[in-house]
Amino acid sequence: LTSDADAMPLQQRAAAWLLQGAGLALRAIIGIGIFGGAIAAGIGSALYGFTHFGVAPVTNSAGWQSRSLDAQDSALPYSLAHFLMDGRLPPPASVKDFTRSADDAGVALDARCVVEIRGTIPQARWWTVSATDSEGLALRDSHTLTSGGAILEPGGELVLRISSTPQPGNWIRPPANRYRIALTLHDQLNTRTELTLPKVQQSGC
Amino acid sequence: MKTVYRLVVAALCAALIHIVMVLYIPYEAFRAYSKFDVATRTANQLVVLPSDTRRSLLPSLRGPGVAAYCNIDLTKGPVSILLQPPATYWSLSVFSRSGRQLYALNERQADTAQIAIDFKRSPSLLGRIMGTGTDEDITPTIDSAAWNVELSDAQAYAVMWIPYADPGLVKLGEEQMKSSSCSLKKA
Repeated sequence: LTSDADAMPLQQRAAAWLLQGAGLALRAIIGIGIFGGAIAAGIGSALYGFTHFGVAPVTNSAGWQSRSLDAQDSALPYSLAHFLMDGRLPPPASVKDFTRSADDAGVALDARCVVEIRGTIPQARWWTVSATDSEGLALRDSHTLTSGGAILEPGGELVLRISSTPQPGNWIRPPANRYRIALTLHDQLNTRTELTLPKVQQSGC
Repeated sequence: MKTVYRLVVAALCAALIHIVMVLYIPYEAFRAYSKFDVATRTANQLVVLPSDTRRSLLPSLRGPGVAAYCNIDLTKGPVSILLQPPATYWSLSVFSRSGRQLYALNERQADTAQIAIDFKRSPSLLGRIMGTGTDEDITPTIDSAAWNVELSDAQAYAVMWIPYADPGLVKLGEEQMKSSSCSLKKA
């Protein structure tokens, strides 16, 4: 007795095996694709969250934004991860960090221009205004003006210029062609009053 | 039907990977960075951070100043931080290994020239049930001699920051900081 398979000519049997093999390979490719996609989606969505979740514009202060580290905020794990992933610790709870990368007109800050920061800094025990790199790092202390070293106008207003060339009054040098501004308040006083941050204008490009 | 099943499993996989990426990987990444840097890898030792390390580890603490760092490890017992800060503005922050702030102190709250803060592990849930931990152990207490802080985790990071208006005072501040310490508490 012989089975049907044995009875099949060799060419037909080879074709059947080939078809079976191709089907298996296709299924494996689809499976790998689906799970590869799942892994990429899991990692990609987390990385997206680290950069974007918890960041919000400051009300009444166009252009400024801050990253929420409020314990009640559902985005807190993403905000913490944003710092830890780069080997950094988040700001202490007493520190409020505000950043921006463009002037009031929405034009990116450019080291070839003179950037003027003008306004009253919210009351705090200590504050700093820095020109930072794109990741928020002040590469040198000379890129930062502190409340201890600032000269204020008679009305208490701050006028600070960021420029590659020396400027009269408060002046700091930009760290790179494209940069960000960071305003940091340590132990802010009068937290009940609405926060208004200085205006930023660019000229002389 | 098989395709739907595969898609559901894939979605669950993606969600699981997302959760691990958010809750676990950042902590491991930070630990790896800490071990890489000589200034931050030693446990239970107060280290005055070189300015480059300070700028990358604590990007929000900008401008001239002195930052000291202690990698608190409670696995070998309680740890004590003794601070002798200047009479200017300073702040101490203690972070959990997941980056959450656990404890903070500044010169107004301390109101004294020398501060001792003792850190120990809070009793485990089993310890509390078995009665090995008293109420005093569970609730953080403050007395005139020292602050006692209980941490649920064996590891934490303490950061002390003293900003200076005059960059010329930073060297002096670093010398002063050497009189402060972070060490295993002697029995």
